[in-house]
Amino acid sequence: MNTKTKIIFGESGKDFILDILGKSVDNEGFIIEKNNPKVRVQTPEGREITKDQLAVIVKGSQKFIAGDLTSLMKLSKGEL
Amino acid sequence: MIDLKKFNGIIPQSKIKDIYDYSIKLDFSTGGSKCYQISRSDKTLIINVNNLPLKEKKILKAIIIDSIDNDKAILIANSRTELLDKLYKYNDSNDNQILSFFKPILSNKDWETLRDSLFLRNEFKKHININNLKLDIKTRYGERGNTISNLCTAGYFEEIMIPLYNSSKEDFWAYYDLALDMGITALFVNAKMKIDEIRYEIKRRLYLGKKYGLQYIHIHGIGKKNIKNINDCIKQEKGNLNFTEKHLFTDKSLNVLIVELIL
Repeated sequence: MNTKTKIIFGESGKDFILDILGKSVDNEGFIIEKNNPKVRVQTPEGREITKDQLAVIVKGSQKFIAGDLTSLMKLSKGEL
Repeated sequence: MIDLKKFNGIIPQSKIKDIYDYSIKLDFSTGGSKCYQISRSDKTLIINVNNLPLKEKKILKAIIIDSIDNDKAILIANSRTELLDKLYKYNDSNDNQILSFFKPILSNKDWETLRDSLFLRNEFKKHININNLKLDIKTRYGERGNTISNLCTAGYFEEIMIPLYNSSKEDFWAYYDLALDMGITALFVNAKMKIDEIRYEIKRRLYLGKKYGLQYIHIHGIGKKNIKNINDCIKQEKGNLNFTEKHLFTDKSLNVLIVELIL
């Protein structure tokens, strides 16, 4: 974490972030693949994630992580 | 870490060398004409995205994609940066001992709830508002999670359950089931509970506690209103039910009350 740059975004920046990562949001608020809208993005724990829940995106295959205590705890312990 | 030289065109190179380890904040507010600001107090480079010309916006997008794909950066919502920073730093030796003890004993789900609850307790001890953390635990783990969190905050895991497990695994599991599955070993009164509900929950615990051979139950309350309600309910029930009360902990300055009802 310390060696990585933090790129911080607010609520109003989520659409911008999702757009450049090739994602969109369906009519129920879930994050989906822009080029395959039937596919909802999943967290590393296998849960579908809404734009409202989205709090962290990390490396490689672009892990989308919710902002609740358990998700962030697992992220901080390297479990995600 | 992102090589800020890539921001050439957005920020003059002369300014970059001082801020190589800064966080980057994407600002989408409108107004002003600046493309960037440097906040030295927060060690943050603020990019005013809406003020960037198209070409520079493309550069920014490319930097973000590259930095995520190559693990040079973490994208994080402003509202969660403080919590995540705290979690990375959180390393309490007492809490670690409790977690190590229970790791081979509890289910993975209960253990994870306990880990979250110990962090919550740590924050509570620092007088930090824990309402959102409590809600996170309840949302993820339901009423069982809420009970684990309450028991953890009140010290039950290290003060009652560890000694119990060390003396008798059978007694531990009997207690754990009563505490978690039936939720009868302790009542945590919150401000949303009405007098009738508190009385009902006390009566239910006294009845089931006797039925399952418990020697006592505990009633916990924080805050003037909760403490008054608990005392009123105990006074009302004392005539009807057979128990002895013992005030285990009363702190008027902290507004904390723990009463033991001996069955």
